[in-house]
Amino acid sequence: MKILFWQQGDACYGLDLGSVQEILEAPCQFPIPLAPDWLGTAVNLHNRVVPVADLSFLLGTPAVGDDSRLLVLRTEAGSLALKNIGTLKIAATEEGAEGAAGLLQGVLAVKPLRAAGATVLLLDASGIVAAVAAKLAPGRSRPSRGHRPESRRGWGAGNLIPFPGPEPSNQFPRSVVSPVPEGERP
Amino acid sequence: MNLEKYRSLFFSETREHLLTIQKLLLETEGSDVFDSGRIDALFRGAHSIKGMAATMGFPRTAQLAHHLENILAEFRKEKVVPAEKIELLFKGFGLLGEIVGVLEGGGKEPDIDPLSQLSPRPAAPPKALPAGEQAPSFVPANLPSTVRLRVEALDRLHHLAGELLTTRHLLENAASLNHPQALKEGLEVLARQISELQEQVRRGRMLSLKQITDPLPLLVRDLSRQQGKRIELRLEGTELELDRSLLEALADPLVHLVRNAADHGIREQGVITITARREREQAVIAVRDDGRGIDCEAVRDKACQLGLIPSSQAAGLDEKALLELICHPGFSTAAGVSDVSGRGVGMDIVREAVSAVGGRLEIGPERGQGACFRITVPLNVAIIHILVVHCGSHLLGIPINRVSRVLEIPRCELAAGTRLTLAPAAKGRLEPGPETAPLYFLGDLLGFSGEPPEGMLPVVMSERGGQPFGLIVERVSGHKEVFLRKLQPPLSLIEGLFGAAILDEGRVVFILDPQELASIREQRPGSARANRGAVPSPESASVPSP
Repeated sequence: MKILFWQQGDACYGLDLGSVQEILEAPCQFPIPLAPDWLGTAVNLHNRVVPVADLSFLLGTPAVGDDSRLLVLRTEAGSLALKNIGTLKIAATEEGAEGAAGLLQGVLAVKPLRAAGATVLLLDASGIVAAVAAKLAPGRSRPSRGHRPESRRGWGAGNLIPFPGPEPSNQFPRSVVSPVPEGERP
Repeated sequence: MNLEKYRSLFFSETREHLLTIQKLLLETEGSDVFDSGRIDALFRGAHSIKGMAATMGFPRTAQLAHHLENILAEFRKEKVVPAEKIELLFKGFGLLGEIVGVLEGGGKEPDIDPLSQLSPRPAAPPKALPAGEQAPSFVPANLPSTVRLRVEALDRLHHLAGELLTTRHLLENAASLNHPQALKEGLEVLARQISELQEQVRRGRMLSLKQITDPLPLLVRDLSRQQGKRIELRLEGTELELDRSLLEALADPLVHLVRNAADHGIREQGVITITARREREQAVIAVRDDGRGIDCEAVRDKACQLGLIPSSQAAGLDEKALLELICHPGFSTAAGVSDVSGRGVGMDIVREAVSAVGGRLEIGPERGQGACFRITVPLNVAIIHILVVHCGSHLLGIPINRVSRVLEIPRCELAAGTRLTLAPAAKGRLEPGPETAPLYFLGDLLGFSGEPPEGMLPVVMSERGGQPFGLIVERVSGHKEVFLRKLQPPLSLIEGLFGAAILDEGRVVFILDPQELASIREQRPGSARANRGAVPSPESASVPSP
């Protein structure tokens, strides 16, 4: 399997290349009224309106600074562009290097695997889209942009929402979410 | 053999068979004469379902169909149709439809025993369906997930795809040669081809109104039996084709109107008529009954009693305004109203559903001469007119059909809590409430920062539940005809958005749902400018109605 991976905060994250539709460099973004800040804009992608989510918010990591590059995911559940992603690289996964799936931040399903000599936390594209939807409509109540009770908190403890992933008891091994050693970083 | 790819076909064909069976059973029940042709057709339908279900690996479904086939075989042999057996067939095919609905929804085939399910034990006493519940029908309530296209239409689409490819080469060539005239001509050809493509796809989305009216005869049959009435349902013009999104939106309102007519309109005996016809670019669907009609005086009394209109205003309201009141949420959900007015239950839901697709509901009753509920919807839901408004740095759209008028009011007269006083000229219009309409700064509703500019500000007036309200914007830059893009998840989960459009220059404009915005504002008043310390201002801005 080929993956697209990048460094974000203290960890290295990846996505199956097959779930990535396109990478856009500095496209024109249009504000979405009534959306929370972490989903504040949309792009015109070949005449389709695709929302842009802030990946650093979703992962609970510091912003990477450059939010002009967008990674567009296309899944059965819908399309979503991600911004605030680190420098992207492509690698093939190493054989037999797949770990048990677990949960990140309590909501995102991740699977650790080895690629390019580093441990990469493989994100599930459909899971990201589903989790964004669940975040937007917990009983269809949505905070207005005027008050931001969860500003930059990400989906960490105390902010859990149902997620169609592994059971919460199947916690991600702590050693996996710890920072990737310097020498292993892509 | 992998049968997955045949699933859609199975569901689509079973749906068609069940609808035919439903129609034939109703005809058989209503006839005193044994019609062998009809029984043969019923038999063929059951037999086909049995065969397809067995092939698809649904043994219980096949068994049930086989059992129903046996009952029909008895009819053939004995040349009589006993009433209790007809009842059994209604029950059996109803069960078959339910199972198919479960399977289509991705569920497992229930473990049922057809013989025990269809044993001729006394039926449970009929119970009325609560408002909003689906009509009983042999077919699943959702529209078919597959579309049938005529081969010519598919050929035309195929041909168009080829033409578009040619145009692309033409444009590429013109661009590489830097030939402006050729580019211009190529773009004109492209525009024509795109228009035709849109039209072909639009036609492909059209479905007959029958898709949602076919289940209604069974509903009326059940209601008649429950209430001991003799009700006839007449369907006229239901071959009219509408966009499938309209049909999805209108299915529940139609059921609701028919139920209301049967429950409260028809006395012991009567006729409910549904007519559909095209009027220019609109479809008009009317649900009429020849029952007791709507008692306007009772509506007036009830509205006063519920505080929807002040007694001082009540006498001045004309019939149209009074009848609109039955769609007011406070009115229609009030307990016991149906006994008084004969028509209140859930009408707000009907009107909201019709309004959501850009349509309107008119009520035209005469006491003692029945009632008529007329739904008018646009035939083409994809192309809509929007009012383009500016708010802060945002360009936004508001569907024109949600706008009653646009006023201009000096900024100095507007502040938090401002209500627009409707001038006496508006008397005679529907004006429930204390004669004023709340005004909201659109920027506040959307959570934008910044203050609106000074000078005259446009106020876009709309209505929600019969009550006027206004949205204060910074500028209106006209109206546009746009192709409505329905929002997909996760965008569709954001409340207050109606859709989006892409303007000529590729700019994305989000289209707001003003009614939903007002509703959010009422539920969450804390987000308004008022709570952010707006300057005190006059209680109201008095503006004469045009």
